[in-house]
Amino acid sequence: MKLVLIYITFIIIITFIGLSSCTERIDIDLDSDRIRLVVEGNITDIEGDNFVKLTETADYFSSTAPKTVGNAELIIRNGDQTFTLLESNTEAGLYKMPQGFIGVQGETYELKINLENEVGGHKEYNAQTTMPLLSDDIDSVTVEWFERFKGWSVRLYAQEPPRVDFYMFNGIRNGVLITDSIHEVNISDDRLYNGNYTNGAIVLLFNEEQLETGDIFTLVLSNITKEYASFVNELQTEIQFKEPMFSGPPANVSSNISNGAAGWFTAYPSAFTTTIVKEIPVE
Amino acid sequence: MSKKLSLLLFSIIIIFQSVLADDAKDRFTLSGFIKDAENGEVLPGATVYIKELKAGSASNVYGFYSISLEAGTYHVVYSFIGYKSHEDEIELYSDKILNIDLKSSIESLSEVEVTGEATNENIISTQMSVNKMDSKTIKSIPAFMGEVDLIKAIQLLPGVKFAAEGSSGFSVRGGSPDQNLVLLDEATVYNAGHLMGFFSVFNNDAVKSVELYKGDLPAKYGGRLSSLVDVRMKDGNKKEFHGNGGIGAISSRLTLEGPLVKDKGSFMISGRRSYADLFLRLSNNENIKNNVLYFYDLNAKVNYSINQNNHVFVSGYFGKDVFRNGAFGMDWGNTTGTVRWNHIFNEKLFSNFTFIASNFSYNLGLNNEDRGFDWKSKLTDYNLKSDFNWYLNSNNTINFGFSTIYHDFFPGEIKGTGNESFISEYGLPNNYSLENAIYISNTQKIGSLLSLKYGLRLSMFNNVGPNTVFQYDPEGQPIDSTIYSKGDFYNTYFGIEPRLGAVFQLNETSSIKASYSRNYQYLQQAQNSTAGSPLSIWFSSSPNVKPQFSDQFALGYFRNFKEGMYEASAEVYYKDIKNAIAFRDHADLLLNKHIEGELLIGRGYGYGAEFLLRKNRGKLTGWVSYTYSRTFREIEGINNGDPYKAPYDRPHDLSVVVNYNLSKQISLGLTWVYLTGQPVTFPVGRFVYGNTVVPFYSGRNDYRMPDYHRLDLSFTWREKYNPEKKWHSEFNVSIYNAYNRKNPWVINFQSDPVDPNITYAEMTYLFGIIPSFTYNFKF
Repeated sequence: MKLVLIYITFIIIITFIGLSSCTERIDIDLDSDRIRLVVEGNITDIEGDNFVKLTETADYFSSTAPKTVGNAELIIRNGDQTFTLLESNTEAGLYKMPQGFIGVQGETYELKINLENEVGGHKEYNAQTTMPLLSDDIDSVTVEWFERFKGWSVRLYAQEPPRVDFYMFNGIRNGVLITDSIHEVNISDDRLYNGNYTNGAIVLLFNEEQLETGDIFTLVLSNITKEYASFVNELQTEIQFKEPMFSGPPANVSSNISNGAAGWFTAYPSAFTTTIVKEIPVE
Repeated sequence: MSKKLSLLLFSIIIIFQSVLADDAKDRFTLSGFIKDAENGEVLPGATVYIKELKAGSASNVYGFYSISLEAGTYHVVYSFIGYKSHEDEIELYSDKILNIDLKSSIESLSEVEVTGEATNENIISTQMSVNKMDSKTIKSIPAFMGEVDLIKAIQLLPGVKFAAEGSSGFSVRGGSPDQNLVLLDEATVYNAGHLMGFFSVFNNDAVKSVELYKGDLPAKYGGRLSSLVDVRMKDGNKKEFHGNGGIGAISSRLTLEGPLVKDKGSFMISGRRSYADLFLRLSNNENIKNNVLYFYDLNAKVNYSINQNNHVFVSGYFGKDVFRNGAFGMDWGNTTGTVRWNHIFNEKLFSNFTFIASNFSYNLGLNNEDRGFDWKSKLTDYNLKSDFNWYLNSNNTINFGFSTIYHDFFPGEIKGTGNESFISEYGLPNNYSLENAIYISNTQKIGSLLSLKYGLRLSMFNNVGPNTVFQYDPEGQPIDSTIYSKGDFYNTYFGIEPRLGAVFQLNETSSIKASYSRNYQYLQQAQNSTAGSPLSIWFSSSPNVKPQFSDQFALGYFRNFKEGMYEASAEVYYKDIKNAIAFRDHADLLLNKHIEGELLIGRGYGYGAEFLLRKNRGKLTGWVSYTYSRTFREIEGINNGDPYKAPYDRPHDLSVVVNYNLSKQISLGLTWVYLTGQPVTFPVGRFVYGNTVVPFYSGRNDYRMPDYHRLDLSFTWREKYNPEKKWHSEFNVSIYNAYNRKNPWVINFQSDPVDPNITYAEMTYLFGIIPSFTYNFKF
């Protein structure tokens, strides 16, 4: 549904603006703000895909990769179990859950961070999240050419559970993740098809270049928390092109990390459904 | 309710009747209509000046005047800007009805007009914070893409700023665009813009005049905090059949008017249709090429004088914008209709009874056999009102009446169409309410130098069922709900709105004015973007949303020079808004059942000084207006609760509008505007999450966009006037943004696609230099 609205907005924008307006770079002087800790933490039900990344914020126009925060002590508690994360040897600031760990639906996870040096005025940071239940009653997925968008549409055929759900959709092409940045994923609530059969609802759209007929495409459907859905939506709003007709004023994205840190600690289960990308119909 | 109203009205009349019992000795009333000699259009605000008394009065908005004098002989001068004044020697020994026809003076380019002290309406009137423009003045301003536009003309007046470049939304004295009451022949126009607001819905050929009241609304109007834009359509030439029109770059128009029964009734019909989509075909972009994009509007008015004391008017407006891109379509538009019966009880009591219906709706749809959808939204108003002007005696003029509006808002519904639709129906329920008011106001002359206006408006707002009202927690999440059934009056708000003003005449050509007014607003728009989109819905006060109300204090000095050739004014104001609304960060305003949960309530305040110098006659006419103003909001939940600059806080606002009649055939027009850049929120840092660079921001509106300035020029050539010829032509060339200033419309911060770590700022500007050409004709 949000997809449809985004498309409508996009069409309106390009039509009215595209013809007579122009865009050019401009020099702006911006102030600096204090440094904060940034936490990117994911718990999933896939082995090896459970990690926490720690970095720092930077000036807006700094043109380098973010500074990583190494040598921190990280633990995740689940009930009476405690897991210690180990810093990767190859990537500084990346802390991984122990071998064999898999997140479980319905479980609550508590993250505790203890830094070697203060960042953003603190050494200790916490966060908490619960992994939602998976909507796994999926029949199939198709990837068809959508003439209207001049691109590929991924359609889902599934029975949506009659409870409040939030989804994150990712796409994999021939084993490689297409949506490798958080701004490319599709977040959706179940407002428009709650409890019903989704009947080919479009859950992802890709450009012509991103897929080819015959590719093996896998849709990754993940159930996420309402708060994480809001966070990703806010993030996508903040990085997309703003124009005075539809965009509200810019605002900081939310965070579920304590002590003013940015980022999010999230947990989600995923379902993988594979299909072959269909042929483009001949006119 | 109506019983209480009539009782109240009745008692007010009784009181006044007893007060003036003594006053009826040897005084007679001179009254009538003041009209244009050529076409019979009534002239509102024309001056009636009694030389012997060095005092006068003005005709009301319907051209009717009434003046009470002791028996005797008087020299009365009738005048109106742009017309030759007319003097009559009148022997007044009984009530007399004298209708006056004034001849227009457009043919004369002379600087000296025989008007004497009479054209000082702006000096003597107790109404302050008001600006008036007629369609002729509006036409002389260089037009954007050749489209003469009264909303764009209003934006050149002191205290008024456009919401965003090219937009039809505007901010008056720091208020937001939904705080302006825009009336077309008394019908509310909810969305006064075509093509996303780049053009207004008003076809200048159908317009007679427009009056802008900045906050100090007369008691007879209410419901909006910042301004009233009172647009009046032409009545139609009562003497002869005429037409005029034009062919322009964006649209073409045609207006026909004429008598139904000579001197008794007339009609006016005016239509306009754009063909902007023709330009889209020039685009190389496949997607844009096949778009259909146009708007049209139609204004129609019929009036008939049944007899001297009864006149009937019926007017209507219908307009639509259509956009289509293949199977996707969008359309929106306003429809209004007004029926008014004007009844003159006697030479002292002038009344109007009006019924109005207004509608604004939009539709979006995807026409697809399998997976289409349809999204619609609509709002309808039914308004019944009556208004009385009671010319009590030479020192008192009373205005009273009532108004009741029934609002039927349908915020939105989306439905899946087609066989395999995946969208089940999702809609927001209808919202019904009643907005009522009664008012009374007296304009009283005390001695020869002081005039007071004191009035009271009592407003009442009711929510009516059926509806479901949610209760929200401090984070805006719904926690409970109450259901009301059909016809249930489940919530009432009252407003007491005093409207006070005073004029102290220092001498014949200058005066000091002061005013205080309180206004209540029960409807607002769910909008948090600067320019405003036509998809924003209007929502009303409710148990969760208290009405907004504002207090405005204003003080001004008014001075006319050279027999009214120059008008100058300086006005300062202070405005305070309580229960000001704003939306949470990242508010979801589209199709949101819980939109009330997205609201944050606080306070707004602002102040300013407005200066205006206007030249009304001669070869060179025009005005210079400069406003210095500030406006702030203080809302818990935004900017950590600290005061921040409101989106319309643009301290310096300078407009220079000049029209030079080189000869009877050639006119040149020039407009130059300068505004401080609008407040904006910029990033002060960034972080990376999920391979994406995410900005984080300064305090709300801590930065400013670059300043805005623009020069527009126009050149008009009229065919030499030949009274034998029926058809007259005129050519007009307009250049918008003559020195091609790239005024940023928005500044975005982007990541480089190749190396996302590199970020830069990018500005988008809408319009470079745009010339356009219009051919106008008259017959």
